[in-house]
Amino acid sequence: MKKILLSVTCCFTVLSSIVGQDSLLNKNPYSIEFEIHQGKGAGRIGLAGKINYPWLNKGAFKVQSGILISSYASSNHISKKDYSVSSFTSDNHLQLHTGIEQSLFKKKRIYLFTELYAGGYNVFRKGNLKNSVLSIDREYKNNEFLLDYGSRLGIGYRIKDKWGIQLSLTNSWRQINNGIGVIPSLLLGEADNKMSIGLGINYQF
Amino acid sequence: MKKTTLLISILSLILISSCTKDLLKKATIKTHSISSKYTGKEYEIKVLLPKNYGNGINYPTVYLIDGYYHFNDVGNEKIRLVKKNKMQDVILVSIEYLNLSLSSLANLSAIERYRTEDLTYPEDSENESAEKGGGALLFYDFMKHELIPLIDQSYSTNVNNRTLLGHSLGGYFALFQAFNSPSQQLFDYVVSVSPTLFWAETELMKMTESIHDNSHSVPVNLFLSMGSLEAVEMNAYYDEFVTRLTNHPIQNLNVTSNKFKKDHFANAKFSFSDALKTIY
Repeated sequence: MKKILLSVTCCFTVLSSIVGQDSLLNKNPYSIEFEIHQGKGAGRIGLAGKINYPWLNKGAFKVQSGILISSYASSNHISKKDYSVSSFTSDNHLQLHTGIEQSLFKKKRIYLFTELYAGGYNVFRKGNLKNSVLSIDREYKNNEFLLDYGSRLGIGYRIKDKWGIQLSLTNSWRQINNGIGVIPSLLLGEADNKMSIGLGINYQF
Repeated sequence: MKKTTLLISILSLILISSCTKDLLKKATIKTHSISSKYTGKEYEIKVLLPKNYGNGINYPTVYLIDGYYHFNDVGNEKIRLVKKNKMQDVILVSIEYLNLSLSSLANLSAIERYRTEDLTYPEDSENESAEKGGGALLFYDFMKHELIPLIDQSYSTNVNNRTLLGHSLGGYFALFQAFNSPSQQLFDYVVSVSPTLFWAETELMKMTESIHDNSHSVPVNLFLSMGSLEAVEMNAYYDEFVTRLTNHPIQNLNVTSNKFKKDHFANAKFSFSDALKTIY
């Protein structure tokens, strides 16, 4: 099921990029986004940048594709009576997004967006465990690459014509809990099922 | 407009396709409630019977700790694997707490409190959370004197082929019960997934050292697994544990160890499936 979902999302992303090569592009401005993220699973604090490529613009309604790059990191230290653990974790993502954006109300300042993405990321962990009673002094290092797909939802407010501030939720669907639904995957938020909330800016050229 | 329609259709297709069939809906599941005189808790026991149950065959039994978290996944996976002839059919026994489903945060909190009490020994005075645990000896008695006899009396079971599946604290309990009573094994196969080996200042690792030093025999087939994406603490202790079991082998303990590219929860589903395929 996951392979089917991944394949459909990939095909959709590629298809939309091809369909996007039309004259409408000239009338539709690119936009870029920059966000600071608080993540669950692997690194906790992150930065994300995204460039959007609009291929359909019906005024308040827009369909666009984009490339997102993000990087998260965190460190941890646990100290107990007999043992201590120090660790560092980071994860770095590259995602292709496609979705819709809808501006609301008369002034069209508030906008909602929803996107699906496909991509991949690496999770890097490094740490040290020391246990005085069992005479353990062990290093642990691990680096994994994971294919990924998921969703991104958000709401924004356009301060001026070009500038907007926005809040987003990016959620991996890798572990979709036997296909029961999206909500269980929202609750997991682990390194192989990353979830993060982002706050940032949007600039439209 | 055509493009918009196409887009909406594809989005809908993706969402609909994310819902797979729940094979448990058509399966035969019996339930029992047990009020344990050992732990003082009330348990709900779900028994997923084989498809052709009642044909005179004595089936192996698989006991699943923390059924509230894992029964849907393991039950569905068991049916799927049997359908594909990737494992022989078994009776799956899911251990849950009575009237505590995962429907609310209050229930979740109660479940976490109960399972920490039941699945750990000794008490962890250093544990930062309110749950200090320490009741695994009583939970072991519940399984030995109340649960297993009930299942063996109620169903056609093969008493010489029992498996225990445990994840996280359940994985800790699975190991603990095997090492705590080396000569009186309840289970032939013990599957310990992502065990919390650091519980109570790594008491379990000290136990295994002691068993090795005293040349005790632990006649069990032990399946260990850890997710390589889990926390450094989990992985470092797991690596150390496996290294020690390899370097200081315990008599008659047959160890299989795996690492999968999963995090804590995903590793449970994947490892249980892998173990069921290997054992059966």
